[in-house]
Amino acid sequence: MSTKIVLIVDDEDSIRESLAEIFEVEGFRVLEARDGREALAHLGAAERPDVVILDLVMPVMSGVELFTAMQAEPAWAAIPVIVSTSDPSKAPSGVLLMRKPVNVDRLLDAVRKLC
Amino acid sequence: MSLVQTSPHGTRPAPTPSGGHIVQFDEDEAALCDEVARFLGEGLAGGERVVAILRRSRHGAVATRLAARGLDVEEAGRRGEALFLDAAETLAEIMSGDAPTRERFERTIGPAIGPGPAGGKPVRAYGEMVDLLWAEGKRTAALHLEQLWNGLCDANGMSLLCTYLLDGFVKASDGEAFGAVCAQHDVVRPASGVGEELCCDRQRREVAMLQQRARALEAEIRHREELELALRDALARLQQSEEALQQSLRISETFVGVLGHDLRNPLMAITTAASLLERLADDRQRKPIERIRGSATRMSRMIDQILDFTRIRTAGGFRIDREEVDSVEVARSVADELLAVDPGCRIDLTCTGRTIGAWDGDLLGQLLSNVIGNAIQHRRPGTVVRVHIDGAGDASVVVSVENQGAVPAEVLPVLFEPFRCRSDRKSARSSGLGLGLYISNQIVRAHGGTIAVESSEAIGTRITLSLPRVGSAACKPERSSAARR
Repeated sequence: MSTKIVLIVDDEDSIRESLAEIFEVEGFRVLEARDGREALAHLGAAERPDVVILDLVMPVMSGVELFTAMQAEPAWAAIPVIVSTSDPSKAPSGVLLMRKPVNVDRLLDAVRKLC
Repeated sequence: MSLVQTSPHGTRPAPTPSGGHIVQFDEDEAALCDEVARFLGEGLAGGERVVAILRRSRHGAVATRLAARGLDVEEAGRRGEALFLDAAETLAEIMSGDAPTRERFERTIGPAIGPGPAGGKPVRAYGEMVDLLWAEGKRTAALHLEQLWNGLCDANGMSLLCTYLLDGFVKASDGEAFGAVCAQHDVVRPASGVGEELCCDRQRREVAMLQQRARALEAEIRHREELELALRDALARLQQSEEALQQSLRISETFVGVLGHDLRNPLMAITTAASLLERLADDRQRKPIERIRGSATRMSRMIDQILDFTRIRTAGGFRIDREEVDSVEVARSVADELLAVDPGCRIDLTCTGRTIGAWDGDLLGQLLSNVIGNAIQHRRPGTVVRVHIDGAGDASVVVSVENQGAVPAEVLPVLFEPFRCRSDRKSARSSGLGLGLYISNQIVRAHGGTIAVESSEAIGTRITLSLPRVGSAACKPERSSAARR
């Protein structure tokens, strides 16, 4: 079985980097993005993520904007998205929603189920 | 029928040829002094003897007006043609308690007036004692004094002038009293010289009555204007308060925003870092890391509770999104979560009947998590927490949560109050804010249900939640099951 790729999109370095290390420890390959635009660059690359963990409130390009862009592109629309946010009211519909502070064990479970 | 005729004090007979008892109503102080000076001046000029019983404050004004007519009051006094008395002092002489007496009146006023035309010059008198009594609110005494004056007028045929300021009759209800005053006089003179051209006494009386009504209406209009002004002021103050309240609300919303959103990111940084450390740590490091995670989780729960509390207080309660929910499934999921946090505890979950209802699934989970979590936290060590869901009733599903250990008697009446354990933090086993059961109560109320508690050392503590199914709860075959967890 190939190594699953997780894209973590969060402007908070401490959250993103810790999550990245956890997923690596748990056997995933991790891509990191500080905002939606960096995430788009990863999506456009050859190595496409299997799951996206997405923060909503970010500079440059927000999580909602990135999600909208992904839905508009058929190749990306099928990639499962887990929204990790402190304000669930801003979350788009049709995503798995986890409120910050997210329980890491549950996040791992959810990612494993979606991959 | 006019008010004059209905007066309990009776109406004076037709005026005597000498002028009799006259009442003059006036709009203001200056007009009153003008009338008094005219009345007294005409008497002095006509060779009559004048007696004026007036307020000390009006002496100067009347004397000045008489001087303007070429009449010297002091000189007239020296010649015995004029006598000026102070109204307050003279009134004190004739009063006994709150009313004048005939004996005192005759003893005091008789010598001042003298025997009348039969014994000398005709007398023309002016008196303000009645107006003083009227101004003090002693209306019955004033009318009695008017009657005493009438007796004196009848006895010696003198002319007597009384004056009243219309300001003494400013209420609509003063109409009857005004009529009573008029009834005590032979001649009624309206204010401002109005009606002087009228030869009919009845018409002059009616003009005076109309003036009183007009004055009462003016006073009423002024009163209403003042009320309107006060109302406008009150509205302006209310608007200011509302703006201040809005400002306070905006600050509160900002505060809630900071609490709800901005604090969650650093909190997640802590929990995520702790989770990472947990994976990298050896056994010795695991316990302090678990403490970090536990504290962060508790802090997260406190933030949730404060947000709920703020929402309850500002929005008036929870908003319910009803959906068909099986309370047993929710309870099972809640029990799994609680057992994950505290693997050492035991939850005995049983159910009977139909356990489905139209509830808010998330809030039901929060409610059961609060109540069952509370029972776990406060149970006697090593004992089981029993949760039973009774769906036998058609209208409601009843959830009871029992644990061994009693709630202190002094806490029981305030168990569902917010922040109840803040004042007893040293002894309280709770590590939260004391909002869990308050929020539980609010969730139950938002569903139209009830929450109750029984507690004693003998039976332990039982919290009972009654949740109306509300309408569309689906009918499914009745079941009975028991699951030991």
